[in-house]
Amino acid sequence: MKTKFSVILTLILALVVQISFAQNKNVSGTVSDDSGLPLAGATVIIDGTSNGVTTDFDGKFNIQASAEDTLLVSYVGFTTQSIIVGDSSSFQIQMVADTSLDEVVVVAFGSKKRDELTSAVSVISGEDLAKLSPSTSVDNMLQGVAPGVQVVAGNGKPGQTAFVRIRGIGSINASSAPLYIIDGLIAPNLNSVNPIDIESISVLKDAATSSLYGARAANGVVLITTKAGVKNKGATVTLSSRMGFGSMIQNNFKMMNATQKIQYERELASLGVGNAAGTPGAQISDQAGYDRLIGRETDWFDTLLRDATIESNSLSIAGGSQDLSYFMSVGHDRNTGIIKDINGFERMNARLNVSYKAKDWLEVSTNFSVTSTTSDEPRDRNNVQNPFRAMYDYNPYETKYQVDDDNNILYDEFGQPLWNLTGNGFSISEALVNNPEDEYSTTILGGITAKATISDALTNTFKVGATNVRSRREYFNKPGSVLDGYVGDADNPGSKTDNGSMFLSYVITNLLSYNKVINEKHDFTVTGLFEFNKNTSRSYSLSSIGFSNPDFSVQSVAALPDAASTSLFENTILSYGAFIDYGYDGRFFVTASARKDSSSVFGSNNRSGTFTSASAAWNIAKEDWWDYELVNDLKLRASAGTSGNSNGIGSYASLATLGFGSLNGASTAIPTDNGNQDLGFEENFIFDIGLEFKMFNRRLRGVVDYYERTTSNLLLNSPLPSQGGEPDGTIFANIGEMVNKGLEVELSWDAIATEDLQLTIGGNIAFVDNEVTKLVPSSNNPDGDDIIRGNNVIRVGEEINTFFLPQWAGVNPSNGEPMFYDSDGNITNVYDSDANVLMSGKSPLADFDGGLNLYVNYRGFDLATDFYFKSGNYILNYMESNMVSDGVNVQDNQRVDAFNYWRNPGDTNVLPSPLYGNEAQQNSDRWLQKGDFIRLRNLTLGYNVPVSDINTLGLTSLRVFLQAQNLWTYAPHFNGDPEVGIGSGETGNSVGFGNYNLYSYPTLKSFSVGIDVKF
Amino acid sequence: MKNIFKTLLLVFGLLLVQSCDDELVQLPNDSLSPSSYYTNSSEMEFATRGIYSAFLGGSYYGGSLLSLPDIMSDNVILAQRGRRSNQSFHEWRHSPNLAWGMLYSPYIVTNRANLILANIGNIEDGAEKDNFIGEARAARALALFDMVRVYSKIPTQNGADSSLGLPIITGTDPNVRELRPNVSESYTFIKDELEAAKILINSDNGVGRLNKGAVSALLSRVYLYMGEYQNAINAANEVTVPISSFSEVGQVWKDASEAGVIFKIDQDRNLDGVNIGVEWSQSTAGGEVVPEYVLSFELNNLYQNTDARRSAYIANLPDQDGQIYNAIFKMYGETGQQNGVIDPKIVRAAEVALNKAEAHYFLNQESQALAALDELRSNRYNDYAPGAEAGADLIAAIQLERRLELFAEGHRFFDLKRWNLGVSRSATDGEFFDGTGTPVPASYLNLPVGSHLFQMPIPQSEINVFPEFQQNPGYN
Repeated sequence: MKTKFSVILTLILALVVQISFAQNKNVSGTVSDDSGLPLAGATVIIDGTSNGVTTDFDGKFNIQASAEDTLLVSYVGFTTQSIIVGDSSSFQIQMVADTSLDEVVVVAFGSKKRDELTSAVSVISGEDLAKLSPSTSVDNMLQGVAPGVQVVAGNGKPGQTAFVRIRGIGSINASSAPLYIIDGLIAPNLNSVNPIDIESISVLKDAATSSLYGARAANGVVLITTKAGVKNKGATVTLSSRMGFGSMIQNNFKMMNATQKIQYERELASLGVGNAAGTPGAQISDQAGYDRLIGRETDWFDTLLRDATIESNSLSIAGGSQDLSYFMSVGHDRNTGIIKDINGFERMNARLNVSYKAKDWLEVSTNFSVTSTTSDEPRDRNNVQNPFRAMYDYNPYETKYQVDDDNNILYDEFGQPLWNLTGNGFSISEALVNNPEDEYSTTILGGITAKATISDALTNTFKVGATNVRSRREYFNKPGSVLDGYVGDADNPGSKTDNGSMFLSYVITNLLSYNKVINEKHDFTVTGLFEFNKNTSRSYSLSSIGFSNPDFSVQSVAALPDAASTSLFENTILSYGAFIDYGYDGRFFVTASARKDSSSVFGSNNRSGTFTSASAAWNIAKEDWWDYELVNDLKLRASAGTSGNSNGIGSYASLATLGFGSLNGASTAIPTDNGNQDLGFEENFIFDIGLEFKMFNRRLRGVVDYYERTTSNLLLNSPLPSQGGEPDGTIFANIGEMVNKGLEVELSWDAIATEDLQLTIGGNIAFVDNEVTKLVPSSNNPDGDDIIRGNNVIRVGEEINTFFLPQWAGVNPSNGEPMFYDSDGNITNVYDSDANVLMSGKSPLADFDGGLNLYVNYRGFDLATDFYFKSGNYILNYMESNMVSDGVNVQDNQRVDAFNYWRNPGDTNVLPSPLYGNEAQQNSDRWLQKGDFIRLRNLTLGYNVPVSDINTLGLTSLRVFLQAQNLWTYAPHFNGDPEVGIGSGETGNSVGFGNYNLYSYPTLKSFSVGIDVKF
Repeated sequence: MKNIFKTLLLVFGLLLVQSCDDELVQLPNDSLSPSSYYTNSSEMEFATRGIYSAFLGGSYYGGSLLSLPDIMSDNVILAQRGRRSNQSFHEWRHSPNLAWGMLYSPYIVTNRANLILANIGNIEDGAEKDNFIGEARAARALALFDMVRVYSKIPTQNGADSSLGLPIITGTDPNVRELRPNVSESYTFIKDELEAAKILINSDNGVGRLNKGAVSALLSRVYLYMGEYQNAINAANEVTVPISSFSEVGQVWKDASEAGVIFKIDQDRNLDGVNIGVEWSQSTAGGEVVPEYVLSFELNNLYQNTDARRSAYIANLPDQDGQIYNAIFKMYGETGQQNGVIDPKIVRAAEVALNKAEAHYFLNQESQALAALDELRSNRYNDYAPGAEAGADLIAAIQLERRLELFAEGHRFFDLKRWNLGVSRSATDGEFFDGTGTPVPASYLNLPVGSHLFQMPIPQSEINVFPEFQQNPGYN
């Protein structure tokens, strides 16, 4: 068989070659865009062959072709043209721009043209991303970009991911984070993908597309597609480089300097405030003592912080031959952060995407990426072990190193300066050196896809993908360090902890799809899905004490191992689905889907959930009767459907378990949970109606969506009477319900669109309203009992996590005493910690947020500005309460406005008298502040060097730019940085994020210069 | 050819679908299903140790049951510079919303015992099996006894028998909802179970586990609470553990000796680390205390200088401002430690002697009563000369010695309760070592006999999930 084939093949080839040789001629031409400017880099190939060339900088090409050949001319953003060579040997080819109606949107398990789309999807293209404020974690870049996607930065730490909530909060005990899919693979977070590799991001906000992901999609889906090479196109090399520096955003308040702080201490001491008496300021007895303290003036911000160095470099190569296309990239990011003495964050990543047409019916492709990060971690806790607390607390007359009475630095016997422990008994500068904590992670995402075209109508796609995240943390408390003196074992100095985790998730997906067009009008696609997913998490933690040498931190040198533990969790999801798409004449589109997911996490009685959706769209402007020329496109769409949630639920939550412990060193067996075999998925139902329009020659574009999202069967702990002896006292069961309603508007307007000058203004806004509708019922509250989480409460009829605090009633002008409201609403000077009041409407959730942007392009220069705004969320400003502490924290530095305390009867608009400091500082809504702000997130000025100036260098494109991040902020009600995510990384927070600030890593302001080169 | 490949691809896909179904059952790697456990004696042994670990709950012998009965009595006074833990109990302000949530741990003990008893048929008959049954039934009875003395009247109180007791749980259903029986039914169960356990249980399981002597000792207490004095004496007589000697008293409270201890929860300072002493104070390595409660000046003065307990139970310690207290040293920690981690003692020989003395007294057997009392006193006082008290003086002496001996071990409030005495505190004494300082506020000086506050309120959280469950009178 084989030989016969080869012989025939050889003969045919010989024939073909002969023919082509005989008839070839030289064909040349110029390719230009719709305005007549030459297009460099356009592809010209001979149809049916792999012969092709690319146009040069003047848009010219030269190719050998015969008269029968057809030239295919293509360029991104333009419709591909086919031209029969015929007798001509010279061509002037003018390309026609693709109308944006044909924009292709990636959706679940495939892609659709924009006008075929029946659901609410926000799309951010790679080009759009390049114009946004850069971040190593892409989720931060989504802030203010897509309406309904609320992004709250975790904090300003380099490499930190963000909190992303699509259309409100979707759960109480399970996760509210969206599902992240990168090239069809489930990704744990978004800091594993290099923004430069991204082709597009689609955010699936409603049920019509997200319910195709069934049990994981209750909180929406963020779909990321990375770049691919283009077939029949020579390699394009892209180099991007950016360098810059960052610093902490200036506070909108001032801390005291030494003179002020000494005065404050003396004032309070003379008032008779007990804890002021011992302060250095109060104890000054003579001028020399005063001068000595003044002479120690230290700016702790300067002492502990530095400017961050930010670097980002990447290289990518993309291209393809007739059967193969590829995209490969490597990238390196470094952000030293603003803390002196530690190295900050560093990331390396590499990607390879390849697609190969193995047979005429089989396309195989692979996407593979590796990301490795290193981060020097500062402690993020609520004391001076955290540099961002120390810089506020340390007094301006305290020095980094110990000094003598003449303010000369003191040295130890080795000539090293002695650390000054300060009034707080701890030197953070010393700790940054002697208590290093480092985190390392490696994330591998890889997938292999085989797409078989079984017949004209039938295709089968088989995909295997895996995600592997390994992380490792080392924390070394060096022997002889100050901290070791406090917490260490005197006989075994020094301690070391190594802990880490390994997460492996693999997914096997098979999609069988049948597509048929009947009478050129009815376009049907029916798809069947099978998917299996298994997740495995392992962790370890080891620690030892007794290190003889501060230079060695491996535990093999330790004297005594003192703790070891490992864990292993596994869970699986098995899914089947069927999806139908129907289009009629480009005017009507309808979809329907059903998917059944079974999860090992849930009880044997309720393991499966079936999730369905339906949607429809009508392109009204395509109707024959439509003759309103002002409106070019008008689409009405509606969708409804369900999805599920099991994320964040323990792997074995439904099972009755018996665990092992110990008593007096001997093993015990103890029942740990009675389980609940009825435990099932949380369910999400979302209804969405949307309108998309383009007017005035498509210069005004807009999308409006209204949705109602009901999350039911929320997993809650339902308490049991003690007498049953249930180990955790509760049954975890599907009980609660919550509703999010919202309106999203997105507009963009090409205000000026001339050849030389283009100006586009855009913006979006999303309103969201959350209401808890059902909790665990009890005899007192048939709708459900409150769930109290610290200073917040989850109550039926209210927004989730509404603040719940005693109410502050101001300062009594006659004596400076703090006043509160009692539980009956009367003003009193007696504080009652039980007089908590529900602050209706005040929660960490914003009422609305959005973005505003302006884009100007003038003769190669471009200017992009992006603003982000947010309103209606409330934050407990704990940092302010510590810095304006009414004398309670007089031993620590204070804000200058702490001087504004009550002094004389009749004083108003003042702080309480420090004589009542302890009373005034009790927990109340005194520190609850509205978090509204608007921030200039991004300002970029760029210049694209004209092609004619660089073609001699062999370049096809060269762009230079200046970029500034977080230049300006306006926060009318909040003192400090209003962008509060993680309040305090090491302090447990059952509310999640955004409810208080407590010295987490501050947001940075940065400037950078960059260059992008293509050749 | 092509079609064969495609068919193979589909078949492969289908096979995959089949094989994944089994994967939907995932079991934990650190725990088992309770239904697959309790199958042999080694598993029963682990499970039995699990019963004892439940006694260490923070609201139970791991804390509150040892401290609150003294905090609510005349034995201690609040130190103003402490963290004011349990102040609402000290001031008898407890209510359903401010309650001692003590039901949880004893019912956990009950559940662990019941799981053993429900599966005990899995092991062979014999002494080993009997011992498991005995330990489980005795532990369950002790758990119920501890709850009913907190939440219900004690049988010697007026109208106790028909008042509300607490549910007797013998099954393993976590959803069980039983109403409260009367006190008489609860005590009958406790007594019968302990008597049954006494026959089954080993005579020596070690001091960290229940055994025949421990069950007898507990029975002597239960009968005393029930007013069945002859039974109390009989049970006490079955206890063979001698009272700790004068020189051993201090050692026992450093966990350096087990003298006189009949049953305690044996914990490891580092591995278990339940710091029962933190109920009283925290302290620094430098010897300063942050006291919560200290001895009332009255009680402090009752410890004579010849009393071995004076130095074993009390220490004059300063706080960081230099104020000196009669600090509670009894639970300070093991030798050389100040972390408050020591083994909670549940029953000791000294108490048994006092139970016996009291029972004899109430049977008008004064000479035996005095003998039992002197047996203790001779081991507590230096150069002790036998006592000669009689009549009211004798019972006063027995009650005094009980107060001195069992201080901070969770007896005083229950003893006052069952003796039908109120609590009365000094209006003038403060918290410092010399009686100066801040006295107890006037409104918290007296808790009269018969007050409903002697029976702790059922926590509102219990009523919320089981509305029919009866609250104690006086709290609605």
